[in-house]
Amino acid sequence: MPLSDDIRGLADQVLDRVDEAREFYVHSRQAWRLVQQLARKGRPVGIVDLATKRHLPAGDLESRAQKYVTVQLAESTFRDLSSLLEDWILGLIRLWLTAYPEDMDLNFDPATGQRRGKKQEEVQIPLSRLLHLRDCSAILGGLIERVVRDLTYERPDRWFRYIDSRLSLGCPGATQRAKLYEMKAARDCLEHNRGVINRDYLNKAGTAARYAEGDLVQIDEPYLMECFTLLRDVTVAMARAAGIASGPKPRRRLHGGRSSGKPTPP
Amino acid sequence: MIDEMTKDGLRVSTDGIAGPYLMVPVAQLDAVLAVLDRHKVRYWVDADAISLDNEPAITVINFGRSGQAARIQAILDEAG
Repeated sequence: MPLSDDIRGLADQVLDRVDEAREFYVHSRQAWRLVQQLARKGRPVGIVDLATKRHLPAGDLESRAQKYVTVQLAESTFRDLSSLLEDWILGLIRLWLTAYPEDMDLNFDPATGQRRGKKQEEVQIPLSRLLHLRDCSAILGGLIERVVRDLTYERPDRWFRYIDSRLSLGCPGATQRAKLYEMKAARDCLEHNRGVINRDYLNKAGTAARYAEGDLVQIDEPYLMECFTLLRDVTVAMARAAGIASGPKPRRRLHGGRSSGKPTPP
Repeated sequence: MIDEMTKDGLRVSTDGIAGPYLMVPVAQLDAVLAVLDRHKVRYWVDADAISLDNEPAITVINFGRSGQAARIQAILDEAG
């Protein structure tokens, strides 16, 4: 399958999951709001745990619904979104390197089979892993997985630098990137610091930081919806640009004698 | 402010973790938001509203974790 089809397939998969996550959030909130109203009206709503025979009083459900909607549901949806961003960016890098493994080493000149200059790109992979792989394409696959795995632990700005140095997509723009960095920083803060804003968040979020040190992350609905839209827009734009960059005969080396980034006419 | 459905005063509810919130009939939403805006209260509103038994639809104004329930309640009470 051509690379452009693979990229479109990956983008479609991610976009489907973005839409599904959005629908799940909206429908779950609506369902909980319904329960909240029933409880507020004093309707005989109750959930009985068959094992403990414990009955959740309706009054309790009203405040629980508020917490479930604005904290648990919003935060878990937000975490999912952050994972989808990772799946898209790293998935795109994986597809690109699979098609053009020489791009793992920007100093490699495919025309001569030699490296340019003295600088060497290094990918560390355990020898036992290499010995286990049988042929060159399996070894390349192992190397690509290693590169992608290493990038997983890097910040999104590093992901974009990696992409920029290999594909000149021209997107996302600086404002969108800053918002994505903030989004990932907020996710990391929820995941690793109980949502309390620390210096790590401020460093990662940079100019798009939304909080001061010591604040608590709040995933309010307008922000969450903005993140859905952002991720969708970025995925669509990048997929389109990457599809063009990988088109019928658009292959160009960006490193060494860099091109303008425009595809070569067929 | 009076809840036009129940004829009781609008009541700010609280949850220790989620912060305060206010359930309000959609017909009154603009008036309530105008009062909150005047006092620079931060909030966000659910994107939709739920109607039960064909009664007027209710939506939720969320004040978030940093919302101050007592202050907001006082603002609404004062607004009459």
